[in-house]
Amino acid sequence: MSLQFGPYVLCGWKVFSDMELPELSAWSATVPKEQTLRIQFGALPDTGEISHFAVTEEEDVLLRVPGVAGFHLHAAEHRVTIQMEGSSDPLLVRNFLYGSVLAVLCYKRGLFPLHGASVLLNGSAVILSGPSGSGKSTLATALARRGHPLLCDDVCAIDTKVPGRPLLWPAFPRVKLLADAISNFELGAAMTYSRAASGTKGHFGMTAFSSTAVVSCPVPVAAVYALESPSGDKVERSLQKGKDAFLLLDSQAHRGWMGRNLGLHGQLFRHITALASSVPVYLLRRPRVLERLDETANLLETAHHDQPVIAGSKS
Amino acid sequence: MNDNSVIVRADGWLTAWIDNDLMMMHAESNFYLNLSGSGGRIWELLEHPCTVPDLCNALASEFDIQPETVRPEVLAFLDQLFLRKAIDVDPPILA
Repeated sequence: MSLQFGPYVLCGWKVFSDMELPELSAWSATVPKEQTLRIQFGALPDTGEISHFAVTEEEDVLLRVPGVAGFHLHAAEHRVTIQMEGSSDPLLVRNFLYGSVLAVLCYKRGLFPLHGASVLLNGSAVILSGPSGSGKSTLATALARRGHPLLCDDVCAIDTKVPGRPLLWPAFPRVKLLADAISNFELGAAMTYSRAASGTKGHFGMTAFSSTAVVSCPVPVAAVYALESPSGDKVERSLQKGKDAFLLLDSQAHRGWMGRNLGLHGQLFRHITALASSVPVYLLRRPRVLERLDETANLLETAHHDQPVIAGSKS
Repeated sequence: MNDNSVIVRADGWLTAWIDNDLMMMHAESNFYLNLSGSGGRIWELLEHPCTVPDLCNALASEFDIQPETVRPEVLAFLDQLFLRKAIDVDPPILA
């Protein structure tokens, strides 16, 4: 067992790994807590045909992505074993590591994984949430290119333990983009691409934003924006209250069904209600055309300019 | 359900206020309920065992109306809570 790479930092965890994780930032002593996570290659337990998701008697979690890899999350240890399948694309393996696996790690460690991207605006995390394809990463990229640090893409790990003050633990400052957004931003050599052919479903690129500051410490959450699929002509936000805010957040619990299969219904409910009652949840509508992306970025910058985060405040 | 029925909250419900909505979730069934306005207030009043007159009198006092005015809505609301297993009634209601 070599664990030759790292230590990295991921959502406040100190990560040592058998596989290189170029997306992650180097561990810094400034991170306020130290829980370790080891990621290693190995064989998954022989339990017959492994379905997509399974929980063992020991409460380990087994995830399998056919043709890519199997992942074994060990309940009693802070360890993930990866069994590669065939000549798997390492970027694709990492994509699932930072997605479904990270979501389950969050559930197991008492964090709420909200499906979304987040940037730092005026010292607080603004979260862009919504279903796949709604434009979260594209909007996050637009904001990151304006100098706002990118905190995470895909999984926003939120700590709701402190009443009225939810905190986001940053993942890494890289964003995953699909073909149309890649060409729009003209990111060129900065992109790393999956092996799937351009134009096919598995094709995506990842790019870092090393020009902006890397944030590893937890950040207070200022707002959640639920992105609808782009449509219409206006850029506007509307505050959601009560059950509407709850339902929006509930719908974007990343791999919420996995959390429920782990018996964590109550934990999920507490996370969602804590977040919905502490920060404003907006529905964000904007036009479909990428050429008007700047207008949406302008709205967010203006809305969160010089706006201090006050615990428990909703406006 | 009659005026002598004692109404209590059923076990197993998690609740939280978000703005003016009371969100509820049953821990075992994962079933969600949302109570808004006076519905949430009724749930708060059910923190202690109540009768229908208790609830009507409390709401009437808070909203400055007659208990008879609020009674039909209270009964209808309690029926819905009972159907969703959010409350228990003693003596038990026969099917």
